[in-house]
Amino acid sequence: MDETPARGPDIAAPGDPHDVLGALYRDRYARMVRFATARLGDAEAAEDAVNDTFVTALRRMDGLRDPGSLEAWTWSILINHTRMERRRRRWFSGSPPDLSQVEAPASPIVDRELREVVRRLPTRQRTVLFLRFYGDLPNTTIAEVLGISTGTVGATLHRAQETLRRILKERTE
Amino acid sequence: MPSPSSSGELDPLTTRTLDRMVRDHPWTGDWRRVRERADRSRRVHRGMPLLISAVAGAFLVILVIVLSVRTDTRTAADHRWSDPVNGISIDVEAPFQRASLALAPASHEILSLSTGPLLIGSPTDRLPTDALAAIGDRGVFITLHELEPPEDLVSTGEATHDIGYQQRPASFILSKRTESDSTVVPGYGPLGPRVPGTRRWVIPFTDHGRRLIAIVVAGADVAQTGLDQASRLLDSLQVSPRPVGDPIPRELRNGTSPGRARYIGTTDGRRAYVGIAKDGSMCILIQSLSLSCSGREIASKDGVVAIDRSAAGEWFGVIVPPSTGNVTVNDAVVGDGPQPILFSGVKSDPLLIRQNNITLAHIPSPPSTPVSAP
Repeated sequence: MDETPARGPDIAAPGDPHDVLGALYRDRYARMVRFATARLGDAEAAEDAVNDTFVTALRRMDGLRDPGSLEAWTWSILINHTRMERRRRRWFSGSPPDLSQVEAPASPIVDRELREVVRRLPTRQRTVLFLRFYGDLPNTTIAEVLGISTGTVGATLHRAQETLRRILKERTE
Repeated sequence: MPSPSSSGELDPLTTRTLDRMVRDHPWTGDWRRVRERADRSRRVHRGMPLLISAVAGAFLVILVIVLSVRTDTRTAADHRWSDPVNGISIDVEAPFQRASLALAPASHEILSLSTGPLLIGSPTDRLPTDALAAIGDRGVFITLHELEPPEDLVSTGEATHDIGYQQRPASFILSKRTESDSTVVPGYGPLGPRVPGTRRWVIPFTDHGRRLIAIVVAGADVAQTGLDQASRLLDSLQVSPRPVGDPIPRELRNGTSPGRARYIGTTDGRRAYVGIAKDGSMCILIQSLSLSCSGREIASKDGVVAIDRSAAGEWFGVIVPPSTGNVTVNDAVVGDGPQPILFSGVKSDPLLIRQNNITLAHIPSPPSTPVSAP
Protein backbone atom coordinates (compact mmCIF):
# COMPACT_ATOMS: atom_id res chain seq x y z
CA MET A 1 0.00 0.00 0.00
CA ASP A 2 1.10 3.49 -0.77
CA GLU A 3 2.32 5.07 2.43
CA THR A 4 1.73 8.58 1.26
CA PRO A 5 -1.76 9.82 1.85
CA ALA A 6 -3.55 10.14 -1.42
CA ARG A 7 -4.67 13.50 -2.62
CA GLY A 8 -8.37 13.81 -3.11
CA PRO A 9 -10.06 15.47 -6.03
CA ASP A 10 -9.71 19.17 -6.36
CA ILE A 11 -12.83 20.00 -4.41
CA ALA A 12 -11.94 23.65 -4.21
CA ALA A 13 -12.13 23.98 -7.96
CA PRO A 14 -15.15 25.84 -9.30
CA GLY A 15 -17.87 23.82 -10.91
CA ASP A 16 -20.94 21.84 -10.06
CA PRO A 17 -20.51 20.69 -6.47
CA HIS A 18 -22.24 17.46 -7.45
CA ASP A 19 -19.48 16.83 -9.97
CA VAL A 20 -16.88 17.44 -7.26
CA LEU A 21 -18.65 14.91 -5.09
CA GLY A 22 -18.75 12.53 -8.05
CA ALA A 23 -15.01 12.88 -8.44
CA LEU A 24 -14.59 12.17 -4.74
CA TYR A 25 -16.79 9.10 -5.10
CA ARG A 26 -14.81 7.70 -7.97
CA ASP A 27 -11.49 8.49 -6.37
CA ARG A 28 -12.32 7.31 -2.83
CA TYR A 29 -14.84 4.56 -3.41
CA ALA A 30 -12.48 1.59 -3.01
CA ARG A 31 -10.82 3.06 0.07
CA MET A 32 -14.11 3.93 1.67
CA VAL A 33 -15.41 0.43 1.05
CA ARG A 34 -12.26 -1.02 2.56
CA PHE A 35 -12.66 1.23 5.60
CA ALA A 36 -16.33 0.31 5.94
CA THR A 37 -15.50 -3.36 5.52
CA ALA A 38 -13.04 -3.12 8.36
CA ARG A 39 -15.74 -1.51 10.51
CA LEU A 40 -18.57 -3.78 9.49
CA GLY A 41 -16.76 -6.99 8.57
CA ASP A 42 -18.94 -7.33 5.51
CA ALA A 43 -17.89 -6.05 2.07
CA GLU A 44 -21.41 -6.03 0.70
CA ALA A 45 -22.77 -4.03 3.62
CA ALA A 46 -19.73 -1.80 3.30
CA GLU A 47 -20.52 -0.98 -0.32
CA ASP A 48 -24.11 -0.24 0.65
CA ALA A 49 -22.90 2.04 3.41
CA VAL A 50 -20.61 3.95 1.05
CA ASN A 51 -23.35 4.38 -1.56
CA ASP A 52 -25.79 5.47 1.14
CA THR A 53 -23.16 7.92 2.33
CA PHE A 54 -22.98 9.60 -1.06
CA VAL A 55 -26.74 9.61 -1.46
CA THR A 56 -26.95 11.40 1.86
CA ALA A 57 -24.16 13.75 0.87
CA LEU A 58 -25.85 14.63 -2.42
CA ARG A 59 -29.12 15.27 -0.66
CA ARG A 60 -27.60 17.45 2.03
CA MET A 61 -24.89 19.08 0.01
CA ASP A 62 -26.73 22.38 -0.21
CA GLY A 63 -26.39 22.70 3.55
CA LEU A 64 -22.61 22.27 3.52
CA ARG A 65 -21.19 25.60 4.61
CA ASP A 66 -17.51 24.95 3.84
CA PRO A 67 -16.94 23.26 0.46
CA GLY A 68 -13.30 22.79 1.46
CA SER A 69 -14.33 20.29 4.09
CA LEU A 70 -16.31 18.17 1.65
CA GLU A 71 -14.11 15.10 2.00
CA ALA A 72 -13.97 15.19 5.78
CA TRP A 73 -17.69 15.77 5.86
CA THR A 74 -18.30 12.77 3.60
CA TRP A 75 -16.08 10.54 5.71
CA SER A 76 -17.93 11.59 8.85
CA ILE A 77 -21.19 10.65 7.13
CA LEU A 78 -19.68 7.25 6.33
CA ILE A 79 -18.63 6.75 9.95
CA ASN A 80 -22.17 7.56 11.02
CA HIS A 81 -23.63 5.15 8.51
CA THR A 82 -21.36 2.32 9.60
CA ARG A 83 -22.12 3.11 13.23
CA MET A 84 -25.84 2.99 12.53
CA GLU A 85 -25.42 -0.25 10.63
CA ARG A 86 -23.52 -1.83 13.52
CA ARG A 87 -26.22 -0.62 15.90
CA ARG A 88 -28.96 -1.95 13.63
CA ARG A 89 -27.27 -5.33 13.48
CA ARG A 90 -26.88 -5.38 17.23
CA TRP A 91 -30.57 -4.66 17.67
CA PHE A 92 -31.58 -7.34 15.26
CA SER A 93 -29.05 -10.00 16.19
CA GLY A 94 -28.70 -9.10 19.85
CA SER A 95 -24.92 -9.02 19.57
CA PRO A 96 -22.26 -7.04 17.70
CA PRO A 97 -21.33 -8.30 14.27
CA ASP A 98 -19.05 -11.29 14.37
CA LEU A 99 -16.11 -10.09 12.36
CA SER A 100 -14.52 -13.51 12.29
CA GLN A 101 -17.46 -15.14 10.55
CA VAL A 102 -18.63 -12.71 7.98
CA GLU A 103 -16.46 -13.32 4.97
CA ALA A 104 -15.95 -16.48 3.01
CA PRO A 105 -12.42 -17.94 2.96
CA ALA A 106 -12.09 -17.22 -0.74
CA SER A 107 -12.73 -13.53 -0.23
CA PRO A 108 -9.77 -11.22 -0.76
CA ILE A 109 -10.93 -9.29 2.21
CA VAL A 110 -10.58 -11.23 5.41
CA ASP A 111 -8.13 -12.64 7.79
CA ARG A 112 -10.44 -13.77 10.58
CA GLU A 113 -7.82 -14.14 13.24
CA LEU A 114 -6.40 -10.70 12.61
CA ARG A 115 -9.90 -9.28 12.79
CA GLU A 116 -10.24 -10.60 16.30
CA VAL A 117 -6.90 -9.08 17.18
CA VAL A 118 -7.78 -5.66 15.80
CA ARG A 119 -11.16 -5.75 17.49
CA ARG A 120 -9.37 -5.65 20.81
CA LEU A 121 -8.15 -2.12 20.07
CA PRO A 122 -10.08 0.70 21.74
CA THR A 123 -12.73 2.18 19.47
CA ARG A 124 -11.06 5.50 18.81
CA GLN A 125 -7.66 3.92 18.15
CA ARG A 126 -9.26 1.49 15.76
CA THR A 127 -11.15 4.24 13.93
CA VAL A 128 -8.10 6.44 13.57
CA LEU A 129 -6.07 3.50 12.39
CA PHE A 130 -8.69 2.51 9.84
CA LEU A 131 -9.04 6.05 8.53
CA ARG A 132 -5.35 6.33 8.17
CA PHE A 133 -4.67 2.95 6.64
CA TYR A 134 -7.80 2.06 4.69
CA GLY A 135 -8.95 5.58 4.01
CA ASP A 136 -5.43 6.74 3.28
CA LEU A 137 -6.30 10.04 4.91
CA PRO A 138 -3.67 12.47 6.21
CA ASN A 139 -3.76 13.25 9.91
CA THR A 140 -5.25 16.68 9.23
CA THR A 141 -8.27 15.20 7.49
CA ILE A 142 -8.67 12.51 10.14
CA ALA A 143 -8.64 15.28 12.75
CA GLU A 144 -11.30 17.12 10.78
CA VAL A 145 -13.41 13.99 10.39
CA LEU A 146 -13.33 13.12 14.07
CA GLY A 147 -13.32 16.67 15.38
CA ILE A 148 -10.07 16.31 17.24
CA SER A 149 -6.68 17.94 16.93
CA THR A 150 -3.98 16.72 14.58
CA GLY A 151 -1.71 16.04 17.55
CA THR A 152 -4.34 13.83 19.11
CA VAL A 153 -4.60 11.92 15.86
CA GLY A 154 -0.83 11.32 15.85
CA ALA A 155 -0.80 10.26 19.49
CA THR A 156 -3.77 7.98 18.98
CA LEU A 157 -2.12 6.38 15.98
CA HIS A 158 1.02 5.83 18.00
CA ARG A 159 -0.89 4.24 20.88
CA ALA A 160 -2.88 2.12 18.47
CA GLN A 161 0.28 0.70 16.91
CA GLU A 162 1.81 0.07 20.33
CA THR A 163 -1.35 -1.71 21.46
CA LEU A 164 -1.52 -3.74 18.30
CA ARG A 165 2.12 -4.73 18.59
CA ARG A 166 1.57 -5.82 22.17
CA ILE A 167 -1.49 -7.87 21.26
CA LEU A 168 0.28 -9.53 18.39
CA LYS A 169 3.25 -10.29 20.61
CA GLU A 170 1.00 -11.84 23.25
CA ARG A 171 -0.64 -13.83 20.53
CA THR A 172 2.59 -15.33 19.24
CA GLU A 173 3.92 -16.17 22.72
CA MET B 1 12.10 10.59 19.64
CA PRO B 2 9.14 11.57 17.57
CA SER B 3 6.43 9.03 16.99
CA PRO B 4 6.39 7.57 13.51
CA SER B 5 2.67 8.24 13.48
CA SER B 6 3.04 11.93 13.90
CA SER B 7 3.88 12.09 10.22
CA GLY B 8 1.02 9.79 9.35
CA GLU B 9 3.24 6.82 8.61
CA LEU B 10 2.42 3.42 10.06
CA ASP B 11 4.93 0.86 11.11
CA PRO B 12 5.37 -2.22 8.93
CA LEU B 13 3.73 -4.57 11.45
CA THR B 14 0.54 -2.52 11.60
CA THR B 15 0.49 -2.06 7.88
CA ARG B 16 0.94 -5.75 7.28
CA THR B 17 -1.67 -6.66 9.84
CA LEU B 18 -4.32 -4.30 8.53
CA ASP B 19 -3.55 -5.17 4.97
CA ARG B 20 -4.08 -8.83 5.72
CA MET B 21 -7.29 -8.09 7.58
CA VAL B 22 -8.94 -6.30 4.68
CA ARG B 23 -6.97 -6.67 1.55
CA ASP B 24 -6.91 -4.07 -1.14
CA HIS B 25 -9.54 -4.71 -3.75
CA PRO B 26 -10.53 -2.92 -6.95
CA TRP B 27 -13.99 -1.97 -5.83
CA THR B 28 -15.75 0.30 -8.27
CA GLY B 29 -18.92 2.13 -7.52
CA ASP B 30 -21.69 3.31 -9.81
CA TRP B 31 -22.00 7.08 -9.49
CA ARG B 32 -24.92 7.23 -11.89
CA ARG B 33 -26.97 4.95 -9.64
CA VAL B 34 -26.00 6.98 -6.62
CA ARG B 35 -27.17 10.15 -8.39
CA GLU B 36 -30.43 8.51 -9.35
CA ARG B 37 -31.01 7.30 -5.83
CA ALA B 38 -30.21 10.75 -4.50
CA ASP B 39 -32.62 12.35 -6.99
CA ARG B 40 -35.37 9.95 -5.97
CA SER B 41 -34.61 10.53 -2.33
CA ARG B 42 -34.57 14.28 -2.85
CA ARG B 43 -37.88 14.14 -4.66
CA VAL B 44 -39.34 12.13 -1.82
CA HIS B 45 -37.95 14.51 0.74
CA ARG B 46 -39.04 17.51 -1.26
CA GLY B 47 -42.49 16.02 -1.56
CA MET B 48 -42.56 15.13 2.11
CA PRO B 49 -44.21 18.37 3.25
CA LEU B 50 -46.70 17.94 0.43
CA LEU B 51 -47.20 14.32 1.44
CA ILE B 52 -47.62 15.28 5.07
CA SER B 53 -50.06 18.00 4.03
CA ALA B 54 -51.91 15.53 1.84
CA VAL B 55 -52.06 12.96 4.62
CA ALA B 56 -53.20 15.60 7.08
CA GLY B 57 -55.74 16.86 4.56
CA ALA B 58 -56.98 13.35 3.91
CA PHE B 59 -57.23 12.78 7.64
CA LEU B 60 -59.24 15.96 8.01
CA VAL B 61 -61.49 15.00 5.13
CA ILE B 62 -62.03 11.57 6.65
CA LEU B 63 -62.71 13.19 10.00
CA VAL B 64 -65.21 15.55 8.45
CA ILE B 65 -66.85 12.68 6.59
CA VAL B 66 -67.03 10.58 9.73
CA LEU B 67 -68.48 13.47 11.67
CA SER B 68 -70.95 14.28 8.95
CA VAL B 69 -71.91 10.63 8.65
CA ARG B 70 -72.48 10.63 12.36
CA THR B 71 -74.49 13.79 11.96
CA ASP B 72 -76.37 12.30 9.06
CA THR B 73 -77.05 9.21 11.08
CA ARG B 74 -78.36 11.36 13.80
CA THR B 75 -80.47 13.27 11.34
CA ALA B 76 -81.77 10.09 9.82
CA ALA B 77 -82.44 8.39 13.09
CA ASP B 78 -83.44 11.47 15.01
CA HIS B 79 -85.48 14.49 14.28
CA ARG B 80 -85.90 17.93 15.62
CA TRP B 81 -89.55 18.59 15.69
CA SER B 82 -90.88 22.10 15.84
CA ASP B 83 -94.40 23.08 16.64
CA PRO B 84 -94.87 26.74 15.76
CA VAL B 85 -98.48 26.75 16.88
CA ASN B 86 -97.62 25.64 20.41
CA GLY B 87 -94.26 27.35 20.35
CA ILE B 88 -92.14 24.36 21.25
CA SER B 89 -89.45 22.27 19.62
CA ILE B 90 -87.79 19.10 20.79
CA ASP B 91 -85.42 16.36 19.64
CA VAL B 92 -87.11 13.11 18.79
CA GLU B 93 -84.61 10.29 18.98
CA ALA B 94 -85.17 6.66 18.08
CA PRO B 95 -86.73 4.57 19.50
CA PHE B 96 -89.08 7.36 20.48
CA GLN B 97 -91.88 8.28 18.16
CA ARG B 98 -93.97 11.37 18.29
CA ALA B 99 -97.70 11.14 18.43
CA SER B 100 -99.25 13.19 15.66
CA LEU B 101 -102.34 13.82 17.69
CA ALA B 102 -103.23 14.12 21.30
CA LEU B 103 -103.32 10.70 22.87
CA ALA B 104 -105.30 12.01 25.81
CA PRO B 105 -107.64 14.35 24.01
CA ALA B 106 -109.35 15.63 27.12
CA SER B 107 -106.05 16.73 28.59
CA HIS B 108 -103.92 19.75 27.90
CA GLU B 109 -101.41 17.63 26.12
CA ILE B 110 -99.31 19.41 23.55
CA LEU B 111 -96.74 16.70 22.93
CA SER B 112 -96.31 12.97 23.42
CA LEU B 113 -93.33 10.76 22.67
CA SER B 114 -93.29 7.04 23.26
CA THR B 115 -91.13 4.03 22.58
CA GLY B 116 -94.30 1.97 22.36
CA PRO B 117 -97.51 2.06 20.32
CA LEU B 118 -99.16 5.46 20.21
CA LEU B 119 -102.62 4.51 21.32
CA ILE B 120 -105.28 7.07 21.93
CA GLY B 121 -106.71 6.89 25.39
CA SER B 122 -110.08 7.57 26.80
CA PRO B 123 -111.05 11.22 26.94
CA THR B 124 -111.75 10.89 30.63
CA ASP B 125 -108.09 10.23 31.36
CA ARG B 126 -105.45 12.91 31.77
CA LEU B 127 -102.93 10.38 30.55
CA PRO B 128 -103.47 7.86 27.74
CA THR B 129 -103.66 4.68 29.77
CA ASP B 130 -103.71 2.47 26.69
CA ALA B 131 -100.44 3.93 25.43
CA LEU B 132 -98.90 3.75 28.90
CA ALA B 133 -99.87 0.12 29.31
CA ALA B 134 -98.42 -0.61 25.88
CA ILE B 135 -94.88 0.63 26.59
CA GLY B 136 -94.03 -2.63 28.34
CA ASP B 137 -91.34 -3.21 30.93
CA ARG B 138 -88.62 -1.46 28.95
CA GLY B 139 -90.51 1.38 27.28
CA VAL B 140 -90.68 5.05 28.09
CA PHE B 141 -93.46 7.53 27.52
CA ILE B 142 -92.97 11.27 27.63
CA THR B 143 -95.74 13.80 27.48
CA LEU B 144 -95.93 17.53 27.87
CA HIS B 145 -99.05 19.31 29.00
CA GLU B 146 -99.70 22.97 29.30
CA LEU B 147 -101.98 24.85 31.58
CA GLU B 148 -103.68 27.58 29.64
CA PRO B 149 -105.58 29.89 31.90
CA PRO B 150 -108.11 31.16 32.00
CA GLU B 151 -110.14 29.44 29.30
CA ASP B 152 -109.06 25.87 29.90
CA LEU B 153 -109.27 26.15 33.61
CA VAL B 154 -112.72 27.60 33.36
CA SER B 155 -113.82 24.85 31.08
CA THR B 156 -112.57 22.23 33.50
CA GLY B 157 -113.89 24.09 36.46
CA GLU B 158 -110.52 24.18 38.20
CA ALA B 159 -108.91 26.96 40.12
CA THR B 160 -106.02 28.89 38.75
CA HIS B 161 -102.92 29.00 40.86
CA ASP B 162 -99.22 28.61 40.44
CA ILE B 163 -98.45 26.48 43.45
CA GLY B 164 -95.88 23.82 42.60
CA TYR B 165 -94.66 25.42 39.39
CA GLN B 166 -90.98 26.16 39.67
CA GLN B 167 -88.75 27.70 37.08
CA ARG B 168 -87.67 25.14 34.54
CA PRO B 169 -84.87 22.99 35.96
CA ALA B 170 -81.43 23.13 34.42
CA SER B 171 -81.84 19.47 33.62
CA PHE B 172 -84.74 17.10 33.88
CA ILE B 173 -83.11 14.51 36.10
CA LEU B 174 -84.95 11.23 36.06
CA SER B 175 -83.83 8.90 38.79
CA LYS B 176 -85.22 6.94 41.68
CA ARG B 177 -84.66 10.00 43.82
CA THR B 178 -86.74 12.29 41.63
CA GLU B 179 -89.51 9.78 40.97
CA SER B 180 -92.93 11.21 41.73
CA ASP B 181 -95.90 9.34 43.02
CA SER B 182 -98.06 12.41 42.81
CA THR B 183 -101.45 11.92 41.22
CA VAL B 184 -102.50 15.55 41.44
CA VAL B 185 -100.88 18.47 39.65
CA PRO B 186 -101.62 21.92 41.05
CA GLY B 187 -104.09 23.74 38.92
CA TYR B 188 -104.50 20.75 36.71
CA GLY B 189 -106.32 18.21 38.80
CA PRO B 190 -105.87 14.47 39.13
CA LEU B 191 -103.68 12.56 36.72
CA GLY B 192 -105.17 9.26 37.62
CA PRO B 193 -103.42 6.32 39.20
CA ARG B 194 -100.14 5.02 37.91
CA VAL B 195 -100.40 2.21 35.42
CA PRO B 196 -99.30 -0.93 37.31
CA GLY B 197 -95.69 -1.91 36.63
CA THR B 198 -94.60 1.57 35.65
CA ARG B 199 -92.70 4.39 37.30
CA ARG B 200 -93.68 7.99 36.91
CA TRP B 201 -92.12 11.41 37.10
CA VAL B 202 -94.32 14.51 37.15
CA ILE B 203 -92.44 17.76 36.76
CA PRO B 204 -94.49 20.98 36.71
CA PHE B 205 -92.43 23.96 35.63
CA THR B 206 -92.63 27.37 34.06
CA ASP B 207 -90.82 28.51 30.97
CA HIS B 208 -91.32 31.88 29.27
CA GLY B 209 -94.28 32.48 31.53
CA ARG B 210 -95.97 29.31 30.41
CA ARG B 211 -96.95 26.65 32.88
CA LEU B 212 -95.99 23.23 31.63
CA ILE B 213 -96.08 19.75 33.05
CA ALA B 214 -93.58 17.16 31.88
CA ILE B 215 -94.69 13.65 32.67
CA VAL B 216 -92.45 10.66 32.09
CA VAL B 217 -93.66 7.11 32.53
CA ALA B 218 -91.15 4.26 32.35
CA GLY B 219 -91.51 0.52 32.44
CA ALA B 220 -90.25 -1.31 35.51
CA ASP B 221 -87.11 -2.62 33.79
CA VAL B 222 -85.97 0.57 32.11
CA ALA B 223 -82.27 1.10 32.81
CA GLN B 224 -80.83 4.42 33.84
CA THR B 225 -79.54 4.89 30.29
CA GLY B 226 -83.12 4.84 29.05
CA LEU B 227 -84.08 7.42 31.64
CA ASP B 228 -81.07 9.47 30.70
CA GLN B 229 -82.21 9.50 27.10
CA ALA B 230 -85.65 10.67 28.16
CA SER B 231 -83.98 13.31 30.29
CA ARG B 232 -81.86 14.39 27.34
CA LEU B 233 -84.91 14.74 25.11
CA LEU B 234 -86.68 16.84 27.71
CA ASP B 235 -83.57 18.94 28.08
CA SER B 236 -83.66 19.54 24.33
CA LEU B 237 -87.12 21.05 24.70
CA GLN B 238 -87.20 24.67 23.67
CA VAL B 239 -90.18 26.72 24.73
CA SER B 240 -91.03 30.03 23.13
CA PRO B 241 -93.46 32.62 24.40
CA ARG B 242 -96.97 31.65 23.58
CA PRO B 243 -97.41 32.33 19.85
CA VAL B 244 -99.71 35.13 18.82
CA GLY B 245 -101.67 35.39 15.64
CA ASP B 246 -103.05 31.91 15.99
CA PRO B 247 -104.77 31.02 12.70
CA ILE B 248 -107.45 29.15 14.56
CA PRO B 249 -110.62 31.19 15.16
CA ARG B 250 -110.89 32.81 18.53
CA GLU B 251 -113.44 30.40 19.88
CA LEU B 252 -111.15 27.54 18.89
CA ARG B 253 -107.80 29.05 19.69
CA ASN B 254 -107.08 26.57 22.42
CA GLY B 255 -106.97 24.17 19.60
CA THR B 256 -104.18 22.30 18.13
CA SER B 257 -100.91 22.15 16.35
CA PRO B 258 -100.23 20.66 12.95
CA GLY B 259 -100.98 17.03 12.90
CA ARG B 260 -102.61 17.06 16.28
CA ALA B 261 -106.16 17.06 17.50
CA ARG B 262 -107.18 18.92 20.57
CA TYR B 263 -110.22 19.03 22.72
CA ILE B 264 -111.65 22.48 22.95
CA GLY B 265 -114.74 24.20 24.14
CA THR B 266 -116.78 26.46 21.91
CA THR B 267 -118.41 29.67 22.96
CA ASP B 268 -121.86 28.19 22.78
CA GLY B 269 -120.96 25.46 25.22
CA ARG B 270 -120.63 22.62 22.78
CA ARG B 271 -117.65 20.33 22.94
CA ALA B 272 -115.46 19.95 19.92
CA TYR B 273 -112.17 18.79 18.63
CA VAL B 274 -110.15 20.78 16.26
CA GLY B 275 -107.12 19.70 14.41
CA ILE B 276 -104.80 20.87 11.70
CA ALA B 277 -103.58 18.07 9.58
CA LYS B 278 -100.06 17.95 8.28
CA ASP B 279 -101.28 19.09 4.90
CA GLY B 280 -102.52 22.27 6.57
CA SER B 281 -106.19 21.53 6.39
CA MET B 282 -108.25 22.31 9.44
CA CYS B 283 -110.58 19.68 10.71
CA ILE B 284 -113.26 20.29 13.24
CA LEU B 285 -115.14 17.66 15.10
CA ILE B 286 -117.82 19.39 16.98
CA GLN B 287 -120.35 18.18 19.43
CA SER B 288 -123.24 18.00 17.12
CA LEU B 289 -124.49 15.78 14.46
CA SER B 290 -122.54 17.59 11.85
CA LEU B 291 -118.90 17.38 11.14
CA SER B 292 -116.86 19.22 8.63
CA CYS B 293 -113.31 18.89 7.53
CA SER B 294 -111.69 21.48 5.33
CA GLY B 295 -115.15 22.87 4.73
CA ARG B 296 -116.49 19.52 3.63
CA GLU B 297 -119.36 18.23 5.64
CA ILE B 298 -118.66 14.71 6.70
CA ALA B 299 -121.59 13.96 8.91
CA SER B 300 -122.80 10.45 8.50
CA LYS B 301 -126.04 9.45 7.05
CA ASP B 302 -129.21 9.97 9.04
CA GLY B 303 -127.31 11.90 11.67
CA VAL B 304 -126.41 8.66 13.38
CA VAL B 305 -122.69 8.99 13.72
CA ALA B 306 -119.98 11.27 12.43
CA ILE B 307 -116.78 9.46 11.72
CA ASP B 308 -113.95 10.55 9.55
CA ARG B 309 -110.29 11.09 9.40
CA SER B 310 -108.41 14.23 8.66
CA ALA B 311 -107.25 14.97 5.17
CA ALA B 312 -103.92 13.40 6.10
CA GLY B 313 -105.73 10.35 7.33
CA GLU B 314 -104.33 10.69 10.78
CA TRP B 315 -107.24 10.81 13.06
CA PHE B 316 -110.89 10.41 13.21
CA GLY B 317 -113.54 11.32 15.63
CA VAL B 318 -116.81 10.13 16.84
CA ILE B 319 -119.13 12.82 18.00
CA VAL B 320 -121.72 11.91 20.52
CA PRO B 321 -124.58 14.37 20.81
CA PRO B 322 -125.61 15.59 24.26
CA SER B 323 -128.70 13.51 24.42
CA THR B 324 -127.03 10.33 23.37
CA GLY B 325 -127.35 7.41 25.67
CA ASN B 326 -124.81 4.64 26.11
CA VAL B 327 -122.14 4.17 23.50
CA THR B 328 -121.22 0.60 22.90
CA VAL B 329 -118.40 -1.05 21.07
CA ASN B 330 -118.94 -4.69 20.34
CA ASP B 331 -121.82 -4.54 22.74
CA ALA B 332 -119.68 -3.19 25.58
CA VAL B 333 -120.48 0.21 27.02
CA VAL B 334 -117.51 2.49 26.46
CA GLY B 335 -119.00 5.87 27.06
CA ASP B 336 -122.00 7.67 28.28
CA GLY B 337 -123.06 10.82 26.51
CA PRO B 338 -122.55 13.58 26.31
CA GLN B 339 -118.92 12.55 25.83
CA PRO B 340 -116.72 12.83 22.82
CA ILE B 341 -115.12 9.50 22.14
CA LEU B 342 -111.99 8.67 20.24
CA PHE B 343 -111.47 5.03 19.58
CA SER B 344 -107.87 3.97 19.60
CA GLY B 345 -108.34 0.34 18.75
CA VAL B 346 -110.03 0.90 15.42
CA LYS B 347 -108.44 4.13 14.34
CA SER B 348 -107.19 3.19 10.93
CA ASP B 349 -110.39 3.17 9.00
CA PRO B 350 -113.90 4.35 9.71
CA LEU B 351 -115.16 1.24 8.06
CA LEU B 352 -113.54 -0.77 10.79
CA ILE B 353 -115.59 1.08 13.29
CA ARG B 354 -118.71 0.04 11.54
CA GLN B 355 -117.42 -3.47 11.12
CA ASN B 356 -116.66 -3.59 14.81
CA ASN B 357 -120.28 -2.96 15.51
CA ILE B 358 -120.02 0.48 17.01
CA THR B 359 -123.48 1.76 17.61
CA LEU B 360 -124.92 4.86 19.08
CA ALA B 361 -128.33 5.03 20.56
CA HIS B 362 -130.94 7.72 21.17
CA ILE B 363 -129.83 10.01 18.44
CA PRO B 364 -131.82 13.24 18.44
CA SER B 365 -132.60 15.32 15.43
CA PRO B 366 -129.61 17.09 13.89
CA PRO B 367 -129.26 20.83 14.39
CA SER B 368 -130.37 22.95 11.55
CA THR B 369 -126.97 24.60 10.93
CA PRO B 370 -123.93 22.40 10.70
CA VAL B 371 -120.64 23.83 11.88
CA SER B 372 -118.11 24.21 9.18
CA ALA B 373 -114.48 25.03 9.14
CA PRO B 374 -113.51 28.66 8.70
